[in-house]
Amino acid sequence: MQNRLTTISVHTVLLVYTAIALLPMLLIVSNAFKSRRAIFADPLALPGPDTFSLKGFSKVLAVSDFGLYFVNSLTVTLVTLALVLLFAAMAAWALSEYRFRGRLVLGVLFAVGIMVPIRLGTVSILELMVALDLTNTLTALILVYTAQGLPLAIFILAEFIAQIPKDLKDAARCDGVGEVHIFFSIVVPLIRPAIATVAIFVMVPIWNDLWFPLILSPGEGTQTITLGVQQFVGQYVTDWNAVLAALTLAIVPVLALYLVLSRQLVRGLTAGAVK
Amino acid sequence: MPDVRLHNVSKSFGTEDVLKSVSLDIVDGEFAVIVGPSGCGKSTLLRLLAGLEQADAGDIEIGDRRVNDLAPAARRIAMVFQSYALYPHMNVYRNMAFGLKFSGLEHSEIERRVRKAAETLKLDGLLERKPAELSGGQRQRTAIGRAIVREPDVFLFDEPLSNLDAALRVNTRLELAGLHRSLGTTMVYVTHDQVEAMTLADRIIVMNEGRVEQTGTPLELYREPQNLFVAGFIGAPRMNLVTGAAAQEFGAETLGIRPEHLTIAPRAGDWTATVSMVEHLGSDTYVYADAAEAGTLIVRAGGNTSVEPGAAVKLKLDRSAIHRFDAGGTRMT
Ligand SMILES: Nc1ncnc2c1ncn2[C@@H]1O[C@H](COP(=O)(O)OP(=O)(O)OP(=O)(O)O)[C@@H](O)[C@H]1O
Ligand SMILES: [Mg+2]
Repeated sequence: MQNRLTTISVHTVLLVYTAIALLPMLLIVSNAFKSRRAIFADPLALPGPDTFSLKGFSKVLAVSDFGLYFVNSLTVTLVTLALVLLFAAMAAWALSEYRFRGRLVLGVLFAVGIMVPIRLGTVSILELMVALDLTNTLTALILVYTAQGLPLAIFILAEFIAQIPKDLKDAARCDGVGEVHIFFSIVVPLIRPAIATVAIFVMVPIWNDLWFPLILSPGEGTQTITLGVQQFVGQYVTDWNAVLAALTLAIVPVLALYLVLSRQLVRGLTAGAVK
Repeated sequence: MPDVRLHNVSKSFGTEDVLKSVSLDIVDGEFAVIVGPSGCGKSTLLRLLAGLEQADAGDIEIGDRRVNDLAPAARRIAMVFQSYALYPHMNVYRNMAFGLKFSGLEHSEIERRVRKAAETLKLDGLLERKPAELSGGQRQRTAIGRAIVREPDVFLFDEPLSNLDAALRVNTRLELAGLHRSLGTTMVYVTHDQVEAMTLADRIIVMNEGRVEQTGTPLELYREPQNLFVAGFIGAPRMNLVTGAAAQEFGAETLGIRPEHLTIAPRAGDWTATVSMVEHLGSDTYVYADAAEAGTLIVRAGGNTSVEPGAAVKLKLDRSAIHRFDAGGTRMT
């Protein structure tokens, strides 16, 4: 009975939380399919036969370079993701496996990186990018986001790598497997769930970021989705149809990536390794 | 000749001296078993041999090569871990073949070796399975297979059977003995199981607190333990160790008597004792008796001994089979 109550209360809390988290998204998506008048008349209503409209989508696709923004966002996110995961896993492996001088200092440095928000350094970053002639390039964004994502990713992955049984690595060493191969053929496959988790952590803030695109790459060819949407937000009039449609479209890729990655999350891969 | 030699090898972790100037000589083709209580440095010794730890001092030689500075792979050894350490994301075949891929062997040769090892170890039908889908014994055999396919000069085993249940342990023990007979390769085997040591070993190395106490064939150790530690460690049930006046009578500080060298005598005996407990094992009966002069003694009696707890008995000892130790615990001749 006690157990049952606990289960029910836990689920209630979780359901309420889910509802709170999902409601804004539902509002965005449902209103994106409504006419402008209907959005204002009853924002909470679902699109019905007489309020249904795809005007927002057609406007977004016709007026703006939505495809380009989309590709830009996707490029920045995916390239950053690849860089962060590769470098973070390698750094985490080095930090947790090898005893070398300066290891502690490096570890502390990365920990500080988690605590200090990268936006504090915006001015210097901008100066740096100007000096390197990288403003209005996607490269600038990728570099900044990689730096932003690395510390936490290293921290999480190091925890997981430390849990890989020592015997496994030793067995591989006795087998004559080189350190590089131990990393790619044994360590990486074993921390796949952790890598997927980190990927989600890293990906979402990048996809949603408005700050750095606005400052580093606001130019025509390098706008990301979040920036692109802003052209429908006016000082006096906001084209809600278009804004909501654009946001709806922007949800799709993150959702897709999340679905792909989340399948990795729950798996315990070390089962059967030892004992 | 891949003899394995350790010369004054020391190793410490921080302030803890785990191995204290260990010297060893293992002859080519020998099955050497290292025994000792938990924490005495057996695994550390094995890991030094494998190259997974670096010795602080001393020489390690395999064959004619000093291997102190060689990487594990270059030492031509193969190690089987207590935890098996199978790669969880690879099937049995890949577990065995993985290491070979980096040795420059032809693909066909790798396949031949894996198939052969699988056949020897009865893993034929399981090559596609992941470790998680194997039983304990099958995982164990896969781990051994991974060692065999490397065709090493020396096999190193670290308590390979300790995770198996009793019946499987006996089986695998026999298989290992057979494997050693057919391969003829030098094997260094760590265990703290007496029976494994006595049955498998050509030579037993008894370790205690980072030192080698004695090496010898199982029977040598059993018949002539060089010190109290070995006397107490080898043999089950333990050797009876008697101190005080009863020992001094024989001119020793400590007197050692194996349980089978004590008999329950009907009339005259050396000591009078009261039986406190009787264990019937079928073939043997262990009688625990408290003697006023000698303390609690274990007597190994025949299967149909019929003494009861509480009975007063006379104990007679076989004077030709006693072990005498001096004050320092060393065997007296
Ligand atoms: N990497 C290490 N760092 C610090 N101390 C260690 C390390 N490895 C082993 N030791 C210590 O060295 C001692 C010997 O350890 P070892 O594993 O060799 O014992 P063992 O004889 O194999 O014991 P067991 O029978 O329990 O396996 C232990 O006291 C252990 O705490
Ligand atoms: Mg051990």
